[in-house]
Amino acid sequence: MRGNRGKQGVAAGRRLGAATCVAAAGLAALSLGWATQPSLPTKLPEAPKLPERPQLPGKYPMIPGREPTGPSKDDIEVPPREMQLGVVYRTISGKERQVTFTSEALNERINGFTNDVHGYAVRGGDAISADLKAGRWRFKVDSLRTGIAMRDQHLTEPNWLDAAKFPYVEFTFKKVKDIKPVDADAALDTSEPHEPLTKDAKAFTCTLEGELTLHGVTKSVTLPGATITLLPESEETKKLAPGNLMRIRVAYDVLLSDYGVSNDIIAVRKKVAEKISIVTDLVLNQISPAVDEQSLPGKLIPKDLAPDRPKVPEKPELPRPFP
Amino acid sequence: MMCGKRRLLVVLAGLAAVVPAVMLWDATGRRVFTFFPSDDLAKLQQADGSLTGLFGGQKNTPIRNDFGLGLLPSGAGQGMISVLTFALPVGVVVLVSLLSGKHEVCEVS
Repeated sequence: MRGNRGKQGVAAGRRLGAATCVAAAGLAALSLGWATQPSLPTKLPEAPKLPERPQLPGKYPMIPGREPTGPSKDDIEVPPREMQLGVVYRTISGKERQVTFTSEALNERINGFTNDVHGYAVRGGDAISADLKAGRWRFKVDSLRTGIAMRDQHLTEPNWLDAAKFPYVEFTFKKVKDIKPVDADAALDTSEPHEPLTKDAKAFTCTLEGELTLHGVTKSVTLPGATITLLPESEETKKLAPGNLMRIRVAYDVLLSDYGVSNDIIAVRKKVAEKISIVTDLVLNQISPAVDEQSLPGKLIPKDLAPDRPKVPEKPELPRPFP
Repeated sequence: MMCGKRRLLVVLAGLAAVVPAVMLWDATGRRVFTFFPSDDLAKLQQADGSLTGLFGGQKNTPIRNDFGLGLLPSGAGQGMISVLTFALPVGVVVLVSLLSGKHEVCEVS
């Protein structure tokens, strides 16, 4: 009797086992088919139109008669003292990604992005100078996206960047040095993908010095290999943002332990690297002084950036009248 | 002991479940966590070059935003799918089947 029950149990177990195996195989095969089918989103969906942000009267010296590209409550107000130092630019946020971070750990590679950087930069010197005088930009920790919602959530938790206590990652510019113009015809000295500079753009390499605040810890940093590119306003640039444009791009590494971020996932499980590579790529548009005010001949656009103007034919000398 | 043919069938069925999962893991980039295409990243990817493209110069490295069956699940719901969630139950069932069949008497024809 007991033997029969045992045999029945074994047979039932075997049937269950076989059925589960077949079901799992089917599921795996379905997943393989689903994941590799051509109907997977190969074409990216249309980006939604950005909501128009309300203009904050008096907060920013807006260019008269032009729509702001997006003042918001996250923007940093430019101190009046710094506004006097030169041409003021403000970050264009909410479009292209502005900060990319990469963690190359033993067990995993993670990329994170944000396009929600807000801040400003003040540029001194003439119209084609990369002589930054002041600047400050920051982004919210909870604006970082890695593609996995659970991981984005983990990033904001107390054992990581602790967004509740330290909501922003911030860079405060202090000094620029080693400014060297980049030959527009030569490729930039970089291993990153790149293309030739636009005709009217003027690029400089330089070293930025400043303070980086992460996880509530502020440290002085020196960032060599930064690129500052200036682009005068044109019909093409006006479609995206008013005013002259400036691009600041810099790649650098930070050690999480320097900023008090340490846990088992970094130290023991090696899923997140101790050294994080960061690329900051900001496009800013001029907000002060208004471009129109500077558009006097020879003031805004220097000779080498100005479009070729038709030569005015010299007046022929009139023959002297007879006495 | 379980008969050789039946034992072989159980093992083959187990492999039939696990091998495609491992192949899928390999083919989709050997990620640790299962990854589904993200709308947020797709929007960012689509915006690439919209501003910096005006300048030329350095370009951003493309965002990798394609499905990847990970070794581990990446959360609840669809994020549960992973090599581990395929292989673990199958492995347990195969093991139980093999062990529970040890008293079975092979039929001799």
